[in-house]
Formats: sequence, structure tokens, C-alpha cells
Amino acid sequence: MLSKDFSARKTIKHLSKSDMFRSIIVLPHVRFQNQERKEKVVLIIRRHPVMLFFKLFLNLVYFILGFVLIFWAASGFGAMIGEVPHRIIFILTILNIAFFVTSLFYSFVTWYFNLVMATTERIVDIDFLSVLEVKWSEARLSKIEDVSVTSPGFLAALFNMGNLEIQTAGTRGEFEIKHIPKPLRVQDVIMDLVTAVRQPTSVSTKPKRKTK
Amino acid sequence: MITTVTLTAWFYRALVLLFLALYVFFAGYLYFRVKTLARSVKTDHSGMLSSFAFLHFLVVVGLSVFLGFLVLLPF
Repeated sequence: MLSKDFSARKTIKHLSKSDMFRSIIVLPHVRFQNQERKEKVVLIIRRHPVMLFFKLFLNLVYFILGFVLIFWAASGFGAMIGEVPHRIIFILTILNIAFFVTSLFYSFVTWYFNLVMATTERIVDIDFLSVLEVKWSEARLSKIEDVSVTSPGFLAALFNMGNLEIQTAGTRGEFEIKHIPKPLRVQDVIMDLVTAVRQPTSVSTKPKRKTK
Repeated sequence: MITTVTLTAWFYRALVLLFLALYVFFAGYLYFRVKTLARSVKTDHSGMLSSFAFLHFLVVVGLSVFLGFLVLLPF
């Protein structure tokens, strides 16, 4: 059984102080569908919060653009047409605010439920692709052959994020987890879990003592 | 008397009503999706998010009905 002072807790610090905006949670209080009795969730990984804030910022830009268009409409599109009724302006304003709130909520929900769980048995990847499509995929730790990290682009280098590619044996091949924070440390933890599954007695989940 | 102007006005009204109906459908579907996910993955905040999604759906329904009435009233 995993102890509370699992070494990953010390090797990966949380990116955000706020509970809801954490993108890496070690030993979380999480239960999921089809979880086996002895299976423990060791790590939850979400996309880097920068990706969420980028989306929220885009929503804000659309919101401001919407207001600019409404004001333009209120002036009769630069006096090109006659006066637009006040009721239409009111309806458009309310709709703009409503869409802004909806887009904020939608962006947050897609970020929150786009997650990867590393358990003591497997890796579970949940992709919230759209309202109409959610994809669950999983790979047994015993089937994992290789875990590689790529860190493409300027933003990835600036915010220490990258893509994790997990290659598995069998027909499915590999799956990729994009824009995760501290990818090298996550890779290290996943490789530790893989080693623990392959050689259960050789890997300890307790923190190592420092040798002098 | 039905004129082209009246028909065009009703066409735009129907378009707005369709848009509002789609918005309600989207909010409802989002609620069910979040509810299903919150049941499948129980985190500390999944219940709260599910409640927020329901609240969002109710607000969208109320707002759409209100705006629908405003659109249907004669100008």
C-alpha cells in the first residue's frame, strides 16, 4: 500500500495554491468508474493552467469584440442604416453576457475534465473533446514500453510544459498527453510506477533517505 | 396584410428563436455531460461543478424564455 509520504509528493510541487486550479495532484482523493479494489490513484495530471488562462483570455477578447459590435450597431453601423430599436440592442447585450459566462464555464469544465490519472495499475486518459464527445483510454502499466517527453515551442520552454508520449505494447500503439506541466518529473513518476509493477519488491514507495 | 417586410421580420424572429433553442439544448447537454463525468470521476469538486452546470442550465432556460418573449413582442 502506498504511504502518504510517497516520494512523488516531494518531487512534484503543486503549480497552483488553489485547489480547483491544480494541474498536478499527488495521491488525490479520487474515485473513478471501474476502479479496482486495491487500485490507488497516485497522480492526476491536467493541462498546464496557462492553457486554461489562454482560453479564458480569448473568451474575454470575444466578449469585448461583441460589445464593440453592439455599440456599432447601436449607432446604426456608423449611420449606414437607420436607428436600431433599443430592444434589439438590449437583447444582443444580454446574449453577449450570457455567451461570455457560458464560454468561461465551458472552458473551465473542458480543462478540469481533460485529465490523466496514473494509478498503481494503469494510466487512464480522459479527453473532453466536445460536449458531444468524451474519450476514455487506458493503458496497463505492465504494457507500457516507453515514456518520452517532447517540449516544442517557445511557450513550452517558458512555462516548463511539454507533451508526454506513452508507448504501449499491442495494437493500440501510443497515446499522447499534451501541454502538461513539469513533464520530466511526471515521466519519472510514471516510470517509477512501471518499474514497481514489473518488480514489485525492488521499488519502495517511501522517500529515500539522504546518504552522507 | 402580409408584406415582404413582415415576412422578413418573422424570418429573423424565427432565426433568433431557433438560436435560443439551440443554446438551451447546448446548456442541457453540457449539464448531462458534466453530471455523467462527475459521477464517473469523483473528485473534491466534481459535485460542485455538476451543481454549477445545473444552475447554468436553469439560467439559460430562464433567459431564453425571457428573450424569446422580447423577440416575439411587436416592435
